[in-house]
Amino acid sequence: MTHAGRAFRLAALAGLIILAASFALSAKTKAPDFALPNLEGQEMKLSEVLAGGPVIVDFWATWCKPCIKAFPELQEILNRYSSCGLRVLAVSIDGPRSSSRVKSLIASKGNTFDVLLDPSQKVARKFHVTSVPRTVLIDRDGTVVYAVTGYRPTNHKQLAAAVSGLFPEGCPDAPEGGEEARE
Amino acid sequence: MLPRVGRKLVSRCWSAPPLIVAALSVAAQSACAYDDVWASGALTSDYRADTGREASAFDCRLEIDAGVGPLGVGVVYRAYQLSDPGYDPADIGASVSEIKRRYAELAHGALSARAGHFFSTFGHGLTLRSYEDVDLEHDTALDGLLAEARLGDVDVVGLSGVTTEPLSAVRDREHTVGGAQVRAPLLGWLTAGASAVRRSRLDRLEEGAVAEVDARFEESAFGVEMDAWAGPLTLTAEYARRSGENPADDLDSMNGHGFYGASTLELGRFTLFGEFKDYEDFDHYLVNPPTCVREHLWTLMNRATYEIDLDDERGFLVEGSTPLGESSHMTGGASEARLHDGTLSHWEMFTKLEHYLSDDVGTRLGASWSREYDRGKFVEHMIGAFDVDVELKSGDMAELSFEGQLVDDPATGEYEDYIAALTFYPGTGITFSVLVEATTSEASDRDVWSVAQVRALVQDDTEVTVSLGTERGGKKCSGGVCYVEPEFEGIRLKLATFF
Repeated sequence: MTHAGRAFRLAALAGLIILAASFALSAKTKAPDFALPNLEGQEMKLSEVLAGGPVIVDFWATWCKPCIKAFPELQEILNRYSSCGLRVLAVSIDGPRSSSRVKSLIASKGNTFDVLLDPSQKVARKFHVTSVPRTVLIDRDGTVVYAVTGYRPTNHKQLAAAVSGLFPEGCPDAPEGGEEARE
Repeated sequence: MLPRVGRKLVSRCWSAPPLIVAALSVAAQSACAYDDVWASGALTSDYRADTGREASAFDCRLEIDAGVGPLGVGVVYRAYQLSDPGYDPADIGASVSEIKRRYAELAHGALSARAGHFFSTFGHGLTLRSYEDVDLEHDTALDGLLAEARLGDVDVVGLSGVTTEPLSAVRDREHTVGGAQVRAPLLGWLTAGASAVRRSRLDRLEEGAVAEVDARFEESAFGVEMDAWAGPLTLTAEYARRSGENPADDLDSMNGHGFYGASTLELGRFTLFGEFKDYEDFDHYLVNPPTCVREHLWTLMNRATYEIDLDDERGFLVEGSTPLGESSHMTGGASEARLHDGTLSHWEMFTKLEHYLSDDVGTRLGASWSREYDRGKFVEHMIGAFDVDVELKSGDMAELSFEGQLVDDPATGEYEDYIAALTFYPGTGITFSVLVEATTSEASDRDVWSVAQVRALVQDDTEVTVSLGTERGGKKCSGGVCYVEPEFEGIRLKLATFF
C-alpha cells in the first residue's frame, strides 16, 4: 500500500472513531416518527401517542419464542404505569405469511397493549431492528432513553427502572407494588 | 494463522465505511442545532474461525440513517470476507465489500418519495413482496423510485424498480417492476384495496450479454383484497391473477392465480384461527404469499418446515387457542396441503401447553406430527419438546429445554434427533448457555455436537457473544424462506451495537 493510501485509511479510521465517540457521548437519540395500522386497521402515529406520555416500542414476531416470553413482563410494566400515561406499542414484524396469526395470538394471551403491524418492516428498519425482540423506551420528547435487543429475564427490571425514572414524582394511581421498580 | 487472517479481514472490512460515516456525520453532527435532526445506526459483525476446515470468515454490516426535517438519507455497508474461497458459510459465492443499499427520501405531510433502494409489500404478498431477511441472505430490495400518499382516507403507493436474482455463478436474472396499490376504508368495518404490477425479467450472463434462452419474460399481476371486522370475527381475503408472455418464445407463456383467505374468531380469550390457500402457476421471485403452514417456536419443529409449491397447491390451516384456568394456556391445530389433482402433499398436527407451576417455575410442552409426501412415499416427523424456566432463590434465572424427534425417511431410514440446552441468567447482563445436539442418523458423519456460549451486554445496547464448540447446522426457516446452515466447529465472535 502507498504512503498516501495508508494515510487515507488512518484518517478515515480516525473519522470513524471520532464519530462513534461523539454518538456515544451524545447518548440520547431521537426516535424516528412513524405511523402503522393496528389490528383493527386504524392508523396510530408515534408522535400522537407520545403526546399522552412515554411509549415502549417492542418489536416482535409470532415465530419468536423469546418475544412471546417477554410479553407478561411488558404487560406488568404497562399495568403499573398506564394510569400515568405509559403506552406499549407492540410492533409485529410478521410478514404477510404469518401476520394473520397476530390477532389470534394476542387475544388468546389476554394482552392489552396496542399491537401494530409492520409487514414490510419499514419501521423496524428505521429502528435498525437486526433481530427480535428489540425494546425501545421513548420519553415524551421523543428521545430514546433505553433500548435493548434480545430477551433476558433481567431486562424487564432495567426497563421498569427506566420507566420509573420518567416519573420522578412517582405514579400515584399505579396499582399496589407499582414503585418496586425504583428499588 | 487465524490472527493474521483476522487482522487482514478486519482491515479490509473497516477500510470503506469511514467514508460513508464521515459524509453522513458531517451532515448529522453539524445539524445538531436543529430540533428535528436525528441520526441512528447499527453495527453487527460476526467472525467465525472454523478449526475443522482451517478457514475463517468475517461478516460485518453497518447501517446508518440520518434525517433533517423532511429529508432522510441512509446507507447499508456490508463486508463479507473469506480466508478461503471454498469456505463460504453464508453461501453467497464470494467475498463482498460493497455499499449494499443507499437511499434518500423526502416526506412532507401525507406525501413521501424515496429514491434508491426500497422494500414494498402489496397486500399479503400475492402481487408484490420485496423484503430482506438478513439471517437467510434473502434480499429482494428494489432500486428505483417509491412514492406514497394519503389522500383523505385513501392510501396510494406507486413504485418502479429493479432487482437482481442470482441464478448461478455466471448467470443473473434482472427483474424490472412497476406497480401501484390503492387501499381505502369503504365502511367502518370494511377496508378494500387493489394492486397492479407489471414485471419483466431479463437473464444475463456474467459478461453482461443477454442469455439466449428464455431471455425475456413479461407479465402482469392484478390483485384485489379486503379486510373486515365484525365484532369477534375478523376476515381477510386476497385474490390475484397473473398473465405473461415471452416475446422470444410464445410457448413459454404463463397464466396463473392465487387466493388467500384467513379468519379469526374471538370468544373471550378463546380464539379460533383459520387460513385457506389456492395457488396455481403463481411462483415468482417477487411474490411471497402465506404458506398456511405453522412456523414453530422449537428448533426441530422448524427444521422440518414444509416448503410450499406456489405452482400447484391448495390447503388450509386451523388453530385454536385457549387459557385453561389461571396458570395454563393451550394451543392446538392442523394443516394440510394438496396438489390440484387431489394428491396429498403434506399434513401436520400440533399442540402446545404452557403451565406455570408457581410464580417462579414456568413450563412449556409441545408436540407435532407431520408427513410430507413425494411420489407415493412420505417422510414422517414425530417431535416432542419441553421447556422449563426457574427463578432461583438468588433471583437469578435458569432455563432448561429438551427436544426430540423420530424421523422416518425412505431415503435414509429411521433415526432420532435430540437437542438439550441449559441457559443461566445471573442477572448481570451476562448469559451463559450450553447446547448439545445428537443424532442416530447413519447419514451423518458426527453423532454429537456441543457448543458453549456467553452473551454479555458490555454497555447499554452493545452486546458481545462468544461461542465455542461444534454446531450441527441444518435447515433454518423464517417467513417461509429456508436455507441450510452449514455445520461448524470452532469459535465465533459476534458484536452488535446500536447508536
